[in-house]
Amino acid sequence: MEFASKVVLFLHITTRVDEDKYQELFEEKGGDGFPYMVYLDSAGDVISKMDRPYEVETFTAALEKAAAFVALVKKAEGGDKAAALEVLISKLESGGIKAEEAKKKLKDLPKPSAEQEPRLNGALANAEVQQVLDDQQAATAKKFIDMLKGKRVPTDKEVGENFYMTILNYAEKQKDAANFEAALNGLKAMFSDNPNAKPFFDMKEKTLKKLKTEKDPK
Amino acid sequence: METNVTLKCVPVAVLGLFLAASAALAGPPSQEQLKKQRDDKFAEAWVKKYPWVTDYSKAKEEAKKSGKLIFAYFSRSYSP
Repeated sequence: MEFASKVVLFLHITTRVDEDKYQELFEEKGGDGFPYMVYLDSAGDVISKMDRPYEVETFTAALEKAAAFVALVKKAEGGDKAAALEVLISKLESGGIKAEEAKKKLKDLPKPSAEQEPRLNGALANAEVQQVLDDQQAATAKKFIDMLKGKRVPTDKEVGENFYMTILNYAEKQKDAANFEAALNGLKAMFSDNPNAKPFFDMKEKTLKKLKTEKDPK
Repeated sequence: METNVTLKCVPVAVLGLFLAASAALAGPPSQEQLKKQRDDKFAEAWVKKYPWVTDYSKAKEEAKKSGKLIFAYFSRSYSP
């Protein structure tokens, strides 16, 4: 297969088997449904996502796009400011850089072309909206963590699920094992009587173990 | 208010997916069942046909050595 010779073919199967490594890779790489196909660079960063429906033409087009992007990054790293601008816009478009950081970098870059300008403005707006939502979610999570520490916790299951999941998600992003564990314990107290929650708890137990290991590597 | 909707829906969607499975599932599969499903997946013809690297670290290492990009194909074994 000619295509196979141009790339490193990597197959990841999410199995939910405890002993299998990298079970969160699908989520980490932005997976939004199975099957999911992306191009990664040698550091594991997503370079190009494949558009559905998946067809041979899609693979080739995405490979060309990914290869062109890698070449552009090399030019940018070599001091080419026009290339650096295009890399920045592409990163903004893929959610790979925050609005504030992008704005700082833009100060040292040339003005966008007529084709780039609407892309840049749109991507900047998207990033700004995302930042506002992230900030709100972080503020909510911090408030909930304070409540949890003060032992003021909800008793209603629907409210409780929102409460603990908000903390759980935030703590995972922050690599905060203590609050992650506290939220997980809260969820368990509410939902451990439901056998269908077990896979979820097993998965989050693994995440907790990972967070603890990262904090205290042996 | 839009923000409340977002904050409310995101967490529910995660655990809720598992809880909602109660109508369709008799119970969670055992580790043995999951391992068999995994092994069956790796035995499928399309997997055997190509030189897939299944270890993430090795895939990155190979990409570094060869200068090639990684084509990552994500599938799952516990569901069709």
